[in-house]
Amino acid sequence: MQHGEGERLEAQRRKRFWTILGALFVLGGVAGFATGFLAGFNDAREGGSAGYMTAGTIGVVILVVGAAYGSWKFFQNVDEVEIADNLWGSLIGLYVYALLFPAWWALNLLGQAPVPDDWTIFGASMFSAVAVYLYRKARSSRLTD
Amino acid sequence: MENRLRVLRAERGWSQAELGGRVGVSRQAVNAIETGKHDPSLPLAFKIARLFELPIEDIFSDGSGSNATR
Repeated sequence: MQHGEGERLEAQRRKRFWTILGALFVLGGVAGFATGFLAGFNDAREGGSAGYMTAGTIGVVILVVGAAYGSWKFFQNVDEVEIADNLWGSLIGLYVYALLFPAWWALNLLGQAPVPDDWTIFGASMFSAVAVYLYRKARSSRLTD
Repeated sequence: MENRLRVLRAERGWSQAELGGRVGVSRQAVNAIETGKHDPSLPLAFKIARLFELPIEDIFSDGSGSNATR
């Protein structure tokens, strides 16, 4: 196999991809730790102060803005297969949400289930989206060279 | 969709990463196209055709008995 300009460009593209993904993970980790730490501190003080509330709010805003900017940069740097994997993952996640919530809500009205739980529905939707995304990634990553 | 990408790439001694770099997609994308798991967009198909200096239909086919075979 020849190792030419294409391999160098592909290595650069891969580096950009992992740099952006890594920055997003670090941002999420730092913001999550900071807001969790502040929330715990707030609970321990039984009410806390306006300062802690403000700092926590700023942490959430930084997380949302950072994740939005990072995602935008991410999609500027990925190819059409990566976008397709993301779209399929998102679509299945949305379908799980769109089916699970009304079904659970209706069963609750009929007295067959407890009140729908936000976190369970959110978790199931995210889990389905990530599972589909990872399945597609694994499928297209299998080396056949 | 069927394609001759693997053959054309082998003729030039290129790895999937080499071809991916030359047309601006990942190695995984080249693999997904070669194995028929992803049909390339028209812009990408044109880019690949230009790189190999062949008409698109000499590389890709819809599998209805025309040129390209896997």
